[in-house]
Amino acid sequence: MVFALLAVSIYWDLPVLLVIVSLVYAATRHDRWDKILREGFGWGVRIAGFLFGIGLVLYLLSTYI
Amino acid sequence: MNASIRRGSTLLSASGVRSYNPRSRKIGRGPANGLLATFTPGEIPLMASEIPAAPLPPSPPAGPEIPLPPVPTTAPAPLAPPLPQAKTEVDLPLPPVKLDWIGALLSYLIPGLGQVYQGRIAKGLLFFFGLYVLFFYGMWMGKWHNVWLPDVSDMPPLEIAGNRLSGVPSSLYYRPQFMGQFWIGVAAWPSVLQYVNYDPNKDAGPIFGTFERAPTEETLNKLQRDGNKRWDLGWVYTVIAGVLNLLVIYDALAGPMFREPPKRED
Repeated sequence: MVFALLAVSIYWDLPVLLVIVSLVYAATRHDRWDKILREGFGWGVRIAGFLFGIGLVLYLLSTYI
Repeated sequence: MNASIRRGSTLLSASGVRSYNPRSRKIGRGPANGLLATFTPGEIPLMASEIPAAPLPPSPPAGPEIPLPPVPTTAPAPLAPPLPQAKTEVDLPLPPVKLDWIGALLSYLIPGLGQVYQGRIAKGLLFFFGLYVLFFYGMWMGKWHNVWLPDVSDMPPLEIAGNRLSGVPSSLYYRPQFMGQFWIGVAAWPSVLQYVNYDPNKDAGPIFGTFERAPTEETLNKLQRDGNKRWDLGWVYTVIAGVLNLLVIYDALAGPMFREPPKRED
């Protein structure tokens, strides 16, 4: 089931969105590259964690309920 | 004595309250009421702020004595050698923000162009490649049929609060995604050109052909029936790219949210 979930191509498009949104948003907040990269990494981790959590909840709901 | 003392100013001396008359250059006894009196030679008048503090009232009798813990008699630790005097950096106050409207306009036209114009080339390139990759990747996901402004001439009439909408407002009502996509700049202008020159009897518009042209109902049905969710996800990417460019425009207009203070070495 998990492999079938990962095989859906729609999820492989998300890293593009995640990386670009994190970097561009961080770059609008700072001018120094070390701060841009650090904040962009932080936003990437937060967004990925949020998406993973939502995906996990939906997977559990669809599997056990 | 302060030469700027005005007439009637209240002075205080060690022997009491005095007043000063600059016309006669005499210091009077008593408060500033015009009644003058001679001042003792050699006595230095005091301003109110120069009065010595009044003696404190006697403290209440102390209670039973509490034995203090014994003080260690070890020798104090030797002091650390003084650090060499380093130059300290002092943050100066931030100068007021200067709005760069030309940079903002350039960043609207092409993401990041305003930053390049301002000399922030690397950051401008990040915006350019980031937003254009996101926008055109979204269009590719939607088979190049998810950025358009529809022709509403054959749509049901739209009324909001008794006002009949037509033209662009009506088109935006039927395709609200374009309100976000528009802010990507010139990459969304073919939609406007296609909208202005839309002819339902033709399969393609001038200059751009079918690029960003409103698809037919048949095409839309085929995309959503035969494809997966990528067509829907594609227009989301294009909208996000357009909305992100609003932040880029603001960065070109007023700089980043957190500005770096100018450094000065003392």
